[in-house]
Amino acid sequence: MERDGGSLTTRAMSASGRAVAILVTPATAYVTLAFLLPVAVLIAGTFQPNGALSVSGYARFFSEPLYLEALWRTIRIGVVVTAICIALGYAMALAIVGAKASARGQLIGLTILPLMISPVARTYAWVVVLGHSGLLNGLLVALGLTDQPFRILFTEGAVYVGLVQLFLPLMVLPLVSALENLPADVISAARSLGAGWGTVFWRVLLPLTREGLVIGGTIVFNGTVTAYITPAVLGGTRHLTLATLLYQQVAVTDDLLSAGVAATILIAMSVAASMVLRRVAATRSRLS
Amino acid sequence: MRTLGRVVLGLIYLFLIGPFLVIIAAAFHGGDTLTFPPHNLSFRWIIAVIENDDFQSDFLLSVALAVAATFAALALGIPAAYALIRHRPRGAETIRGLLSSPVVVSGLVIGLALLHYVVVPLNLPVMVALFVAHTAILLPYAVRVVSASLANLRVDIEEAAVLLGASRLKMFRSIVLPNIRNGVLAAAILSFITSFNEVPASLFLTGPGVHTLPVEMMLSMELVYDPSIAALSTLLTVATLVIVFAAERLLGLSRYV
Amino acid sequence: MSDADYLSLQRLTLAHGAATVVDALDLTVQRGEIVALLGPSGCGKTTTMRAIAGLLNPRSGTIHLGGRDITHIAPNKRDIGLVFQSYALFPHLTVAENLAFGLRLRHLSAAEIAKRVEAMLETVDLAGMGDRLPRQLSGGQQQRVALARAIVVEPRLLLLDEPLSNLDASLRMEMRGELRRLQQTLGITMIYVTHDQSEALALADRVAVMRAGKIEQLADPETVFDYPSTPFIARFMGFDAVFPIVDDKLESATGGQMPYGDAGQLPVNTKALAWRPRNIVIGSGPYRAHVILASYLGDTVEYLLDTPLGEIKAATDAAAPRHPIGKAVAFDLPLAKAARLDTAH
Repeated sequence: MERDGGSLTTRAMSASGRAVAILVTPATAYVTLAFLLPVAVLIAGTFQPNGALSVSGYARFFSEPLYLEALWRTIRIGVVVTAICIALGYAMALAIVGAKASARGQLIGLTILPLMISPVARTYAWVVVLGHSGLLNGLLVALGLTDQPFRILFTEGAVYVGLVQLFLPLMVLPLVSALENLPADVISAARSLGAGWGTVFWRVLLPLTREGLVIGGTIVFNGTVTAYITPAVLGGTRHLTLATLLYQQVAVTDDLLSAGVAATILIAMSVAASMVLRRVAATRSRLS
Repeated sequence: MRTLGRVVLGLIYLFLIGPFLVIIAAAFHGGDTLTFPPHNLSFRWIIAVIENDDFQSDFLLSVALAVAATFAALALGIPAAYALIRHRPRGAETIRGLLSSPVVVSGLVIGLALLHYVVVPLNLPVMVALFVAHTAILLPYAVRVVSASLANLRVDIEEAAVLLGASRLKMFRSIVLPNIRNGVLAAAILSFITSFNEVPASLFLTGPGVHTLPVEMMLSMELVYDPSIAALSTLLTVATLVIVFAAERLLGLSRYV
Repeated sequence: MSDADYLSLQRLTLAHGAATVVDALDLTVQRGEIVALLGPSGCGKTTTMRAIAGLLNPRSGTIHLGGRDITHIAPNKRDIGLVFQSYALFPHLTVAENLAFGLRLRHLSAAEIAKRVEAMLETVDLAGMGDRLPRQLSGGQQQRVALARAIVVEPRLLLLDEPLSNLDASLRMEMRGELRRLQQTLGITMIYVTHDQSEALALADRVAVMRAGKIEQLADPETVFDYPSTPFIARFMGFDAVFPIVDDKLESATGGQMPYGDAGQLPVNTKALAWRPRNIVIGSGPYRAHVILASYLGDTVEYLLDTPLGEIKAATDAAAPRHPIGKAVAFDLPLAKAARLDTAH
């Protein structure tokens, strides 16, 4: 009790709950008015297309082949990109953790750096590289591997490439953190007991870094399905995702109901993702 | 094993960073069309982009918006973060969750919701709409980074100041603020960069003649066949790198991320 | 309220949720006095101190300082100084600026402030260190800055929260002397919170031994040391052998009993007796024991005796005749050397 003088103190120093209210209310009021309420109304609006409560908006959405295709594409892209990021992420994280301590800091910095640079610039770089007369095609032609340049840009593949580059750092960081917290020599112990690298990965690394995997995977999946710039620029209008579809419905088709439905689906996915993250954080703090 | 690790790492970093180098190289192409590899290297397009009136005004707009939104996010976020940490009111966790909520959903949703239910009904001018959206987007970052800084602040020096006669406001100004200065600066830089780079919400809320720079770049991408977008990207990338390096050197930015 | 009762706590009750931390505490402190609040962790001494400072609101009761009721006055208006256990120096200010902080709030001229800071630095032997930052100072130096900062504003009352506990033994001794000297020179009224018995006895004019939110005994150091009033205080002061008296017999916690020859001489309100190891006589006396352990400690020899009352620790001078292990010995619990306790537990 005595050493917890901190909390006893704050009770007196804060004297009035009024002081707390003055400090906190502006921020909470702002978030409520500028974000929570508009979003809530948006979601509610999708259930009241003509004033009365109904799911006809959703029925229409799910019966439109174009929209359904966008939905499946979005999920597909999310899963594929996340899977690629997990594979590459582990490779990178293992290499970083295995590096010398001095190099490690720099490598992590190098990994964080792209996150700060404008996503427009990052995506445009791929336009240059993957374009019809871009770097990759130029190389392929020059090496004689093909006569005609490939169509890489404006395909789903290009979107994968762009998104992996965008989100890979976000996968690597939690994995590095998880790997750093591995009990020392666990891998060597497994190897000395006769485990091959596959076994080491599946039965030792994966379970022990599961938390970091879930965190990174959730962040990457959430970011991927809600991404706009990359699918818009690299995928074009022929390969719509929920996000690009949403924009199109607002800016071009003026179908606000379907835009709202798409938005609500995106929100649901994001909220689910954040709940997963919350759960992981909660179990972590319970155990520590 | 070591060398395999190094090779793998090298390839992946090439993948992550390579495209930037391509863009930077392409920006120095002297010809009229975007070409890679570039030849006739010159600063022509870099200069052209800097002197372009439209880009200039977009740039200034983005900067002004980022500064204003950062300031607002900090003005709202610092007192809230302080109250949550120091006074630990009932429901602090809920409030904290509330203040982080904008970061959960994509800017796209924020832009749409604001456009349809706030901007249009209230007939807000474009700049105001952008300001409102960006402030909401930045607030979670401001609260989180400042909280990290406040968590390391000791209660006892605040008590000492009060007992020496300082009012709570004076104590906050003389003792708390100077000691969280680096955290506040880190939050400011992160917020500024986030706002400057923001696209989805800004896309919804821009109007004719009022474009933020990244939105302008995106919209021009398909229409423009010269290296000007590459030049812009190069300038932005270099500027970002300079800011981040400076921040890391002076503040240890990575500690707050 | 006489000026002599400079600080007065009346039925002060402090609680944290459902738990009562300090229970209807009464305490008066005279001007210029040092009173120590002594007790183990959790007894409520720091909580009491914080309430006096105004960092805590009492559940009930009042606090008067110099005749004025300060119970509900804000902490920054009480003119009470506090030296923190952690020093709480402002890390972003120099030593001189730390000292000047409180003075600036009292709207003194810059010249006056500089003068007082100089003088105080001299007093605590830190002359010339004004430009240093706290992190550049040693623990002992930081402690002196914390003290100087609290004193330089000439508070009406000075509270010290285990200020020496983070210092090593020799530094602690030195600072104890410094504190005593300062207090006598400046005549500041002090309340000193500590769990260290020797510190309280060395520094204080009166000692308040606290336990579970109450003051068990309030007296000068000699009285508390030689004549503790309860078993708890007795044990705290080093009385190992504490036995309640029931029907002319001494009783031990394990249920052992031993008739006590001198029980008839005791007044009715003595409920227990306690002895220090040194005051237990071995070799002669009306009682019988076996020696279980003998430890040579340089100055003394410590024995563990197996008695009808269980195991008792006794000590003799190293020069005294030794008693080998296993031997049956006579021993005595002389009444003259016993502390007479008012309660059995």
